[in-house]
Amino acid sequence: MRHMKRMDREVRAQARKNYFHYFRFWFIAIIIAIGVLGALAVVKSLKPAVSRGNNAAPDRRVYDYAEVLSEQEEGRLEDYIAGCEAEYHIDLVLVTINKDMEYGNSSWKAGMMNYADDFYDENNFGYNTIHGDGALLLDNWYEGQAGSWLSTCGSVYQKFSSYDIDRVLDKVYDQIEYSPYAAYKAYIDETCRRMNGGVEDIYIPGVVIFLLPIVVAVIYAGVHLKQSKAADTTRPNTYVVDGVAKRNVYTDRFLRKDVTKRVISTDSGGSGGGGSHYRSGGGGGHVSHSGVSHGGGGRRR
Amino acid sequence: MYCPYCDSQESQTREDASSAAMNICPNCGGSFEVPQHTSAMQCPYCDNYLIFNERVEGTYEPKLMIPFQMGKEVCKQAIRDKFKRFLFAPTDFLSEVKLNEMQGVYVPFWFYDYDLNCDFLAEGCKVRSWTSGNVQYTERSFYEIQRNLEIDFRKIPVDASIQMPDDVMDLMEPFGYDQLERFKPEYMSGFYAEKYNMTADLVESRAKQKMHDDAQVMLRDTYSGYSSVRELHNQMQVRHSAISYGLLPVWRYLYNYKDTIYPFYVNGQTGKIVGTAPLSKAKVLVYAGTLWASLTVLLAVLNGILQML
Repeated sequence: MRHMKRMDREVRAQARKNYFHYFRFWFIAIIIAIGVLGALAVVKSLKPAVSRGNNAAPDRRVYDYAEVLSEQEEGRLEDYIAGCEAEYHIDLVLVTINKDMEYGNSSWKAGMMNYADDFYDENNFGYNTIHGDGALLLDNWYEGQAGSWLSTCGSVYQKFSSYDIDRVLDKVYDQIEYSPYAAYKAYIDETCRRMNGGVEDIYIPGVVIFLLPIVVAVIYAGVHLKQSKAADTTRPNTYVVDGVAKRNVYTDRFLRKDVTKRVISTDSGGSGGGGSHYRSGGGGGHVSHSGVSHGGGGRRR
Repeated sequence: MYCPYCDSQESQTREDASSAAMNICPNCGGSFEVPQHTSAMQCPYCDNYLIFNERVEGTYEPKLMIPFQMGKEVCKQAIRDKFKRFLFAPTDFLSEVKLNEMQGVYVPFWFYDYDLNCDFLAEGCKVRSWTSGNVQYTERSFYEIQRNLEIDFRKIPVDASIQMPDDVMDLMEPFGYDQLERFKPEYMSGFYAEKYNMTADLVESRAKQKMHDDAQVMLRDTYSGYSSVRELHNQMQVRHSAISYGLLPVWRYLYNYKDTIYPFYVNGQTGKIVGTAPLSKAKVLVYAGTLWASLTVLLAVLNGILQML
């Protein structure tokens, strides 16, 4: 009995040893990865934060005068903008209106541009300084004049070409009819992404983190479970004298032949034409009523 | 004299065993039960190997045998090499203690000789296709295929033991007949052995099936160039047959796991191993689970690193 127990202990100890030996590289990789993550966190915490240089601007960033967002959505957008502003050091403002911009002799474009620029200037927006770095999206829901204008200032004005402005507006228009909240979030994301040099934040989607290990573990188990008793290693002539059959008769006599033919139909397929690259105008630089340099652009929906 | 192959002391003790189930060891006087078909075994008291004359003489006398060419240590190593990559086997499956329980067994086999004549007639079709302009042509040529083959099979082995599983014994093949010798009882010393316990008539159908299958493959190989073949006549006739009786060497390892016996057989001449390792469900869960958890943690940490950069 004592002998059996000793053997059992030895077997268990061997099993543990085998286990740790087998997974040693995985465990080392995890320890190294956690170490790197910890080091990065320390470095980030030690890095001096870029402080906001302009305290004259209001805390509010979302002005939903057209009332297209719920209160919860407004709150979520405010929080989201706060995080993005801290990371990219620009002010991000959203204004929705329901206004006629073509009163008098004013054109829609001029009306939108002046409204957006003036709103930015009058509220003293700008991350680093008054009328400094930032962008404002003005979204008009007035019937027949629905459309958006993106006003840029400071570093955003320096960085954004008309092309960049148009791409931000594209992102907004892709979703505005279905979900204004998603469209305005896309404005923030796309503006930040382009301020980041057009580079997407690299991350591993949650579904990959969840599903990939399951798939790998199932395949791993399947591969290691597979085993066969043994392969059949005999050949048909294994037990035949000299390994060959004696051929008494071996003839192949031609009998007849027939030929059939078929016409191959040739369907000529047309090639698709490439689309032209559309760039809207109106984004260039200009000076607002208060004398601040702005960039911007917009179009109707 | 010590035998390094079987780990035993050679005795060559030959006992005039009766058909009685009980026997007395002439070496130590111990009384023990002899299984019905056993012709050689080890005394459970003194470990002396005994050969029972009555079961290797007369009608039970084998004419041929292949002596063991692979020793126990070599076989143990062969099993270790084959299953060391099978992660989910119980930990003690390849332990020295367990593998030491391996036994060398001389298994009774019937050997069948057949001189076979195959007469075959068929219509074969060869298809050729080509394109000219926008027209595709397909040509079918028909041939009369006539074959008459003499195939002489020698010593198709079929095990004559009820105890040995047929599929496993088939997978043990082939044995190298260049080492086939006339039967000598002294080769049995140190090993277990059985006399045949299935008659040649009883198992001949298996030999004929092997012969038939092999002959069909050899015949098919002679007209493999055809796209399709329509058989008109296919007759196989055995013109001469002969039967002989012999013993072939097999190592047997019976591993007991959770009240189930997992048998492994090793060809005592070639070292070919037949058998599947038992599965430890606990190991499957622990190893696959660890892989899953490790990968999940690694991906999550990697994601954190990417977002920090």
